Amino acid sequence: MALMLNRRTFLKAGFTTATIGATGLPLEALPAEAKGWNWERSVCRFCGTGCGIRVASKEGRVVAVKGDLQNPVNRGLLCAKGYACAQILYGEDRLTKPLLRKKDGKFDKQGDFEEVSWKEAFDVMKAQWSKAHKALGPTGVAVMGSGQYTIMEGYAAVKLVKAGWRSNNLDPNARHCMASAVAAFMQTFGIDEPSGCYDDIELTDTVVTWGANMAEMHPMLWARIIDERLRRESYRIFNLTTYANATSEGADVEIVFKPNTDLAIWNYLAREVVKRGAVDKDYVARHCVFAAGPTDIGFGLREDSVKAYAPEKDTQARQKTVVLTREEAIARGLDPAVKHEKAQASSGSPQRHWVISFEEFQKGLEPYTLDFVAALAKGDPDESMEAFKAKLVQLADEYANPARKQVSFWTMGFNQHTRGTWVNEQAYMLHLLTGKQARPGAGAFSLTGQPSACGTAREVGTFAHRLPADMSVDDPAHRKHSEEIWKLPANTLNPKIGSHIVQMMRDLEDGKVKWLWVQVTNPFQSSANANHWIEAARKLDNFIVVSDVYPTLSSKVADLILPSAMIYEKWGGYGNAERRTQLWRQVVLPPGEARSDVWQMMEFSKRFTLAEVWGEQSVPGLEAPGYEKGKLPSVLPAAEALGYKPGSTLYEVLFATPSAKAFAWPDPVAFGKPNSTVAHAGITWFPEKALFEEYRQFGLGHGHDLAPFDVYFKRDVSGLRWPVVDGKETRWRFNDEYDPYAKKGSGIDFYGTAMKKVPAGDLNGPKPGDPVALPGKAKIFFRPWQEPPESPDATYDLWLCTGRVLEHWHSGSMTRRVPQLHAAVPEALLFLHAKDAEKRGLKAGDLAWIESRRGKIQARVTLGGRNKMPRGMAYVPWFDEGVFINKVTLDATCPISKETDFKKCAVRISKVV
Amino acid sequence: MSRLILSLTLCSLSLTAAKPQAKPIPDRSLGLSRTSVFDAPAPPAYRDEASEPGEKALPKRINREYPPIIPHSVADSLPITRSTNLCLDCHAVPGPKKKGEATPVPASHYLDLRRAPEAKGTQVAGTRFVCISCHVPRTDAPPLVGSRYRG
Repeated sequence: MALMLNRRTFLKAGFTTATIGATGLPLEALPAEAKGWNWERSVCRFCGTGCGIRVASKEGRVVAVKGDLQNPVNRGLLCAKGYACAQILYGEDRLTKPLLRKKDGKFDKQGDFEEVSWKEAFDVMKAQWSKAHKALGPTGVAVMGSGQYTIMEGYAAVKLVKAGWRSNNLDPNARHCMASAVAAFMQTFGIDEPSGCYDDIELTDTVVTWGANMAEMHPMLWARIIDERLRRESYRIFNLTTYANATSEGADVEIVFKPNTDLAIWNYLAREVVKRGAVDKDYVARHCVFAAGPTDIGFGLREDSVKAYAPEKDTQARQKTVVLTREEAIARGLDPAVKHEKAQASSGSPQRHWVISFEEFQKGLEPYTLDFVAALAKGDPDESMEAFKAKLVQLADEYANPARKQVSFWTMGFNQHTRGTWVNEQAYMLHLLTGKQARPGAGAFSLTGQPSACGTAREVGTFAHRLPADMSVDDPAHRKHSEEIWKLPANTLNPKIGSHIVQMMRDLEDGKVKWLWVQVTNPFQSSANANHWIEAARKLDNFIVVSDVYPTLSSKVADLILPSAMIYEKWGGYGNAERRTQLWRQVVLPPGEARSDVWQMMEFSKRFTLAEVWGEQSVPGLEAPGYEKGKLPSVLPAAEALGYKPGSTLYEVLFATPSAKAFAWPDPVAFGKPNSTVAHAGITWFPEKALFEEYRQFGLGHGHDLAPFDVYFKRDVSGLRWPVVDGKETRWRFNDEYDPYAKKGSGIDFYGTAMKKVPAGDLNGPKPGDPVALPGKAKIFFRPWQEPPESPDATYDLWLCTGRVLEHWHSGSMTRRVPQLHAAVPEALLFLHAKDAEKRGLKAGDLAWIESRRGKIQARVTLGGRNKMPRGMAYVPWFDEGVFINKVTLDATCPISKETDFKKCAVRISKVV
Repeated sequence: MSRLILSLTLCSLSLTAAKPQAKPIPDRSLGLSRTSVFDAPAPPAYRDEASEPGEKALPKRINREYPPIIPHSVADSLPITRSTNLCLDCHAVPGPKKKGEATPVPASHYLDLRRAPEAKGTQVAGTRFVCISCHVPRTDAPPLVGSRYRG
């Protein structure tokens, strides 16, 4: 209540203070309008925090940005990247013309890039699409999308690929970012995305960061945490990490653990909670069940690639068989003196799970004593065992205390993990056991990395298995519902899940995908084990299109580069990590012939007739009720019954529909702002609004309700957290005081419906019998700790972890073109412990080789700075294409989520001589 | 509105005007690393800013909203912890700037923008406590590509 009052008081004050410079300017500064700057409300281009921004433009150019004082996410502040959102538009090498590899005036994969018209670009792109489609069917073409797609772009991509081309080969870079979070949400709650919101930061007693260096990766959320810590002596911050980082500097307790042992720490904490009688029995009895799943699920590696390098083969062999280590045997309650050889992935789908009893759950936890876990997990060889144990106990004391609330935050340390789904589920395990989930100030809270990983990749459903609003392509009812909204003939949609983004790279190498369109991402830099994929891109017979704003590493391996419009050069919308949807107006025009991604997809769709894509199609491996094996039926006769003609284009059927054209442009919501998609397409309707309004129909009444397009542009709206019901946003989902979807009087209602009918069994497997229905319940999973696919050994003797830095966004294509950000962090350094460096004859500033089974690169050594490594571990950020660390990393994934583990592999480091 | 359409039309007209065809671009000369993707180049060496506070002239502000970059060495000022903030030791002085003294933290930094945006506090707001979230240090690295940004 107090918070509400504060907010109202603040909002009243908001407009009088909005013109005060929130940054370095004194209060007496003149209002900005006096300089002829025009301020427009918008969103930051970068991370998943979703800071509100005000964009100043003058004479058609963006001149500055500042934090939006009205926006509750960041209240007027931005980080060093956010303040650069004006400069990112103006790098000298902005792409302004399509570029095609040519020789002798025509496309040639071995040619150099030449400027071409959009017409020629699309002609070649379409001819190559048809060649791949004719040879391989809908699975031979693919689109790599993004958690940086606007909501409308993602939705347009889903329609074009899934409805138009009848392919499910659409997957975003967000697969690398939070697919594990998604899988855990679905398995635990039956519905995606966090129950809490950022208000939890001010309402909780303790923040625990697990594999989340928030000080660098979510700086404006970290600012709120530090603010709260400085004003409340009783507030506590725990940082669990594999090396000392910037977040450690603000933490009360830092726990450095050995890579992959986070699962063991969670089980120790759960065991303590149970042992101490700290289980919230009422909460668990009313709202939860216990669950388990198969344990020998592999590591998402390839087993049979003929292209594997010889040194890769020993790691890849672990995909088939694992011999348990002594500790693994103990952790499973097995005799450590006996050899246990476990066939991997032999027990069916890794997603399967079943209900178990509390007693079975407790049995699973039993081996995770303090002594066992501390010996396993201590990550800094120079820390004493006593000191490490004391910290684990302190953390257990904190979580087990019923009088204190905790928020557990995590990001890539959990998600990019070969047991990513499991470790996400363990966070819910502890918060559910203690009754500290879906309550103000208490909850396990998955943060996202990208600005619209939630809003687009997840909610719109740009994954290979998804349709909008949490629906799946392999569910007949979901396909039917989508076909109705999209006015498609029955059985147009393909029931076979497409290739995830890691698989797409493997498919490219195996010649199973021969046409690829990359949008709003730089996958050839960001994918692990990159030597394979750049080789496949450049040396095999395939066609790769990259749409981007600057030339990136991916565009260097492309055959066609298309120039795209940037954030403030188009209309768009993002959804952040607290379910807040924020839309923005276009402010300035894109340069040269750069075009919005929506325009690119709409224009390209004009080149497809229904006759080409909606006839019978071969889809190898397709097996679904109502479908002939390996085939998608022709839906052309049914399409004619719906009023379409074989010559109708996908543009007419998917985009320029009668209902879309009803959204006229110009629109009063624009307040005179331009729309270049409209201008370039020469139309009189408003594609971004039409796409958003159609997309919105999927979520209404299904717990994903968004407000109408225009509402997000109201002066007093700074985005809204869905579900938005009767004009009101929802701060805590599943909690009947706040969430209209939670049954009144239930207290807590985990109303998600996915995976809510499962068999019953014990830790070893399901028992025969009818599945149990679990309405309103969340699942508390027991998940064991296991060894990772690759650990340091005699040859490759160090752990390698990769990640981001505060000053650069992802692969650096925008921020490295901002002079002061580049000058601040000009290259990716190799962070090492001084003793590890000394052992290899290295000192700060020296050049070192970093080599794994997969590749080698050079980097310069640093021994201090923001990351302080324990002995035995190295860290290299991945933003720098000149220090191409993903040539070294391992493409193992969580077998459930298919998300790559970028946080651990084994390397050797030597001095460059 | 008609003015807008006109300006968009003019813009697209100027683009279609005849221009000499640019030379073919090999992929290695695209992007920020002017190398082949198959190379493993040796990254250049850069030096952190090493000057003492006050030793060098203040660099030009990027624009009126961008937090000033740190013109001096930060080697001895970091890390910022809850108990130690050496940046504030020098910069949390009343304005205006006096000769020989550090640039004062401006009045805006004393506002609690979340809870009481109109009341000037006595301490720098906690949300601004980690100075290097917004104010970046520098090295001697020249820009990788030019910028057409104008503040």
